[in-house]
Amino acid sequence: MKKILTLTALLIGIAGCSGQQADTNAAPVNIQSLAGNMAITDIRPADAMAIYPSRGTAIERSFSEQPPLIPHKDDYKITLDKNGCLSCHSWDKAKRMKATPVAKSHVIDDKGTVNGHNYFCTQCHVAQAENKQPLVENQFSGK
Amino acid sequence: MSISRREFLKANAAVAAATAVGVTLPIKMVEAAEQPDNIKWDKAPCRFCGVGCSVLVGTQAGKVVATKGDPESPVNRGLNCIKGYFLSKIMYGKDRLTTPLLRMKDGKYHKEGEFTPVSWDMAFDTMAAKWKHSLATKGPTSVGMFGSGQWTIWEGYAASKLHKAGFLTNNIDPNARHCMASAVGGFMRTFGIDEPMGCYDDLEAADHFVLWGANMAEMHPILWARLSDRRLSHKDCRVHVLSTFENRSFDLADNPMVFRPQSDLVILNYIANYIIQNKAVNTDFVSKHTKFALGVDDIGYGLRPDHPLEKKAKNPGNGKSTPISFDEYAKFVSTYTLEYAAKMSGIEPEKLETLAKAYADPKVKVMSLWTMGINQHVRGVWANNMLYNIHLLTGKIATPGNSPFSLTGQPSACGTAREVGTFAHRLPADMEVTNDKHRAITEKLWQVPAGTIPAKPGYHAVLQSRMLKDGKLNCYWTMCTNNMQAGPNINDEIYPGFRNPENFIVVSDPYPTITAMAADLILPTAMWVEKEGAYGNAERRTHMWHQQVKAPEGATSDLWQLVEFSKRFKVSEVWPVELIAKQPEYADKTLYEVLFANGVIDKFPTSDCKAALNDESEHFGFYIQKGIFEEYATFGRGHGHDLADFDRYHETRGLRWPVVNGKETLRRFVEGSDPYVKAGEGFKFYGKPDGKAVIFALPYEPAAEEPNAEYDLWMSTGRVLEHWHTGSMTARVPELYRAYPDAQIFMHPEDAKARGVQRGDEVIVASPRGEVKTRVETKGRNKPPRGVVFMPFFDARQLVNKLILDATDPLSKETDFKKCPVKVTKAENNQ
Amino acid sequence: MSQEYHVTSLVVHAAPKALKQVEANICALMGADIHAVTPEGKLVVTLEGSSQRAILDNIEAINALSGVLSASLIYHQVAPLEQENEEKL
Repeated sequence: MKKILTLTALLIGIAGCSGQQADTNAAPVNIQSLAGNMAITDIRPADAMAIYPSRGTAIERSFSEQPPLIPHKDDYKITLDKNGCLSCHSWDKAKRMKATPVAKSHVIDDKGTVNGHNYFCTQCHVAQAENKQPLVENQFSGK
Repeated sequence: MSISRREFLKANAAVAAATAVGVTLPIKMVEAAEQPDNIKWDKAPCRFCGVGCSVLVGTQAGKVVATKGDPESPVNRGLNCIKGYFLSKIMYGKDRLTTPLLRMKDGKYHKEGEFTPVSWDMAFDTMAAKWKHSLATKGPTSVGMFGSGQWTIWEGYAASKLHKAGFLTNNIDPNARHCMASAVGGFMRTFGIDEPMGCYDDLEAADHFVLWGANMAEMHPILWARLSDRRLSHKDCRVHVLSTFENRSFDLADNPMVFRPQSDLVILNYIANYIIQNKAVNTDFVSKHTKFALGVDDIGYGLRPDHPLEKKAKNPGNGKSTPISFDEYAKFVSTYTLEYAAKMSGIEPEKLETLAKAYADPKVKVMSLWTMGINQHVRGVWANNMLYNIHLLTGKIATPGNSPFSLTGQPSACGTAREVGTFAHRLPADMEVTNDKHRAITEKLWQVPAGTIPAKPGYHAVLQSRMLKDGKLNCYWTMCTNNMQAGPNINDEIYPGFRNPENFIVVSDPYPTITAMAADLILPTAMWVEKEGAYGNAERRTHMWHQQVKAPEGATSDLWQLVEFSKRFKVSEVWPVELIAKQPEYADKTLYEVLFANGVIDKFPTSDCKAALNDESEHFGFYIQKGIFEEYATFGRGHGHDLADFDRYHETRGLRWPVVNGKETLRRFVEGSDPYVKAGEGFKFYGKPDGKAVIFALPYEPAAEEPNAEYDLWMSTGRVLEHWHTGSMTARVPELYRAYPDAQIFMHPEDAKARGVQRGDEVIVASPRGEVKTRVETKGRNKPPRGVVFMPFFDARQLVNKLILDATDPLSKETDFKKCPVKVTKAENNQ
Repeated sequence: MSQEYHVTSLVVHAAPKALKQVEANICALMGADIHAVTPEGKLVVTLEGSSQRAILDNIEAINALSGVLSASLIYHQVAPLEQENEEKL
C-alpha cells in the first residue's frame, strides 16, 4: 500500500525532531537496576556464596498469613519415601527435637499425618541466607 | 482491651471463615466486622505463574497489608506457594518509579543523555513526535511493540488494536513468544484451535503422570501439590519424570529419567512405535477422529538468513505436510526402536519401556505435562505434535485423567497473548492476519475500512531484536516485560538494537529493570491490584480482579498509557489517503475516537463498576475494562471461544471457556462436556474442517549447536521456585531475595573437578556470544549429569542470556533456551 | 507484663450423623463460639484465648472429637492487651 504523506504529517514529524524544551527544574536522577552500577555490557564479579545458618530460633512473621520462614538451612531431602523435615518437625518428634511441630492446618488426622498437598514443605517455607542483605528496601508493613 | 475491640477482632475472624465456606453470618456479626480500621479482603488472581491461583488480598488505609490463599478457588483451595504468599510485598520496593524519565542533555532529548524526570505530557509529546516522524518517513513497519503474557486482557486488546488498526503495523509481539509459541503451533497443527482440551481436574483423575522436561515442583507448585496428593493417596498412581538434569520433581518420581538434550524427539517417536508394535492403537478412535500427515523436515533454526545453518537447511521455516496412511506412519516410526531410543537418550531400556507401557496400557489413564523443556526447543512445535500423537493413537484424550496438558508459564499468556492474539501474525479468537476472511471479520468488528489491517505478519520477538539492530525498526515500546535480561543473544542483538542511535526505545515498568536502564524513555507503571484486571490461566479459566489500592502518585497502568497515547494521533496523520477515503468521516478524528471511544468500548457507565476504585474508568469517563472485554468477547462467542458476561467473572473465581448458556466447559472436543460437540458424535476436533485431529510423522533433528572441543558443556537455563522470571518483583521482597539471593551454575562434581574448580569457586561461563561470572554449585537442588550444566536467569547481576544463541523453532519462532554449548573456567584473581 | 489476645477462626467439617454432637462438644470448649452451621455439616467456629498454646489445645480437642472430618484454620490474629489501668481513668 503506497503511503502518500500529508503535508501536515511531515511538518509535525520535522517539528518533533528538533527536540523539546526541558522542565527547567528537573535534574537527572541516578536510578539503578538490581545490578547496581553494573553496565549491561560489564561482566560483574560474582557475589559470595549464600550461607544458611545451621540452626536458629523461630522467626517472627511479618503478616498474619505468612508461612513461617525456616531459621536454618533447608536442604533436607523430601522424597516419596522420606520427608527429611518431619524427622524433627513431625508431631511425635517435635517436642524431643525442640522443633516447631508441623501446623495443625497441614495434617489430616490426630496422629499428625501430613496432608498430601502440604507434603513438599519447601514450596511454601524457605530458609534465609545470613550473609545477604536485601538489594532494595521494601516498604511493606503488615497486619 | 475494650470489649468492643475484642468483639471486632472476633467478628473479623468469623467473617473470614464464613467467606471461606460461602456462608452468611448474622447481620450483627458482619456489622461488628465492618469497623473503620478493618482489613478489607477481596479476591485477585496471583500475579505470577500460569497455574492461576486465587488469593485474598487484605487492604487497609490504602495499602496491601496481607495476602493469603483463597479457600474458595477450585485451583488452589486456600494454598499458595512461597511467591504467592509474598504477593503483599511486591508493590513496595523502595525504588518504585513515579515519574517518566527521559534521557536528556542540555535540556533536550539525547540518546546518550541522563535520565531526567519529565511530565507525562512531555513524555507523550516526545513519543508521539518520534512515532509520527517514523511513520511518515519509513512507514508502519518502522514502529513496534513488545508486550506481555502478564498484560491484563484489556491491555493486550488495546495494544493489539492500536497497532493493527491504528498504526497499521503487525509489529506487536508478546514475550509469550519466548514461552508458549511452540505450544500454540502444536495446537494449531494438530487440532486447528488453541489451548488444552483438559483441565486441572485431570490431576485428581489420572493414574500415571508424565513430566516432559517440566520441573513442576518449582514452576507450578500448586499443581504439583495436587499431583503429590494424588500420588500419595491413590495406590495405583505412578509418576514418570523426564528431564535433562535431576531436579526437585524427581523427589516424587517412580520412574526418573535423565535424557540427553534433544533426544525427547526420539523418545516420543519410540513410544508411538511401541504403541503400534504392541497392538495398543485404539483403532476405533483413530479411524473415526484422526488422520495422518508427513511433515516437511530439514526446516532450519530460525537464524538470520545468512547464517550457515540456515543456508544449509533444505526447507527453512516450512511447516507444511502431506497426507499419509496409518501404515505409512507406522513404517515411519518403526525405526525408532527401544535400542535407538536408549542409545540416543542415555536412558536405560527398562525405564523407557515402563514409560511406553503407561501410554500403551488401555487401563491406565495418563496425564502428560510439559512447558519450557518442550516449547523452548528448536523443534518445539514438532515435540508438541508428537506428544499429541501418543495420546491420539491410544484415544487417551479429553476424558477425565487422559490428558495431554500443555502447561502455561505466565499468568495470562493464554488469556491475553494467545486468546486476544497479541502476536505479529494474529488476531483475536485464533484468527490470523494472513487470512483474508479473518481480516475482514476483524475490520468489521473494529468498524474500520476493509484493507486497514496489514496482511503480512509483522516482526516477532527475535526478529524485533534483529530489526532494531539493523535500524529497520526505529520506534519501540516494551511493556510488562524485561527482554534485555530475558531475551536471547543480548550482546550481539538486543543491546545493540536498543542503543542504536537511530532508535527511540520506550520501556513501561514499575521498577528500574535492566531493560529500562537501556531505554531512552521510562514510563512508571501501575502493578497488579493497583488496577482492575483479568487474566486467563493454563486451564482456560478467565478470572478477574478489582482495583484495591491506588498506584503510587505518578504511576499509571499499561491500559491508561496505551489509550491516552492514542489521543495524540489523528487518523489523517497515520492512515494513507486511500484508506481514509473509504471512511472519510474518520479523517479528523483521533485514533482514540476511532478505536476506543467508538460507541462500543465506551458504552458502559462508570457506575457499572461495583468496586470503590477504578482509576482508568474515572479518567476516561466510562467503564473501559468492561467495554473492551465485551467488544473482544464478540469475536469468540459462537466460535468455540465463548466468554461469559463480564460481570460474572467478578462474581466468581473465574470460568473455563467456552462458557455456553452460563455453563463452563471442563473438557473440550468430547460429547457431554463440550457444547460444541453434538450428541452421537463422540469426539470432534472442530478446529479442523473435517473434525479430525492430525497425527504427524516427524523425525529427530539435532539441536542448533552441540558441545565441541572448546565449548564442551551443554547449558540449560531456567527458573527457581523463589523467583518469578527476571526477579524484578520477587528480588525486591526481602524474604524471597534472602531465600535465593544469587544465581549459580549447577555442575556435576566430576565436571567441576576436571576443570579445577569446586563448590563455591567463582568461574567464568562463556559461549561464543558472551560471558558471565558466577559461582559453582555441585550439591544444590539441581543435579545435572556429566556434560550438562544449568543456570537460572532471574539474577540481574548475572545476565546468562548473553550466552544464548537466538536460534528458534522455525515454525513457532520461539527461542531454544535449553541447549547452549558453554565452557567453564576458573575466574582468576578472585575468591 | 504484656498479655495477648488470640483469636482464630476455623471451618470444622463434621460427619452429617455426628453434627449435633460435634456442635455440643465445641460449645463446651472454653473460648469457642459457633457462628454458623451449613447443611453439609460445616461449622464456622472462632476460638479465643490468651496464648497460642490455649488456641492450639482447643484445636487439638476439636480434631479429637469423633465425627470431625477436618478442621481448616482460616484466620489468626494476635493483639496485645493494653494495661487495664489506663481504661479505668
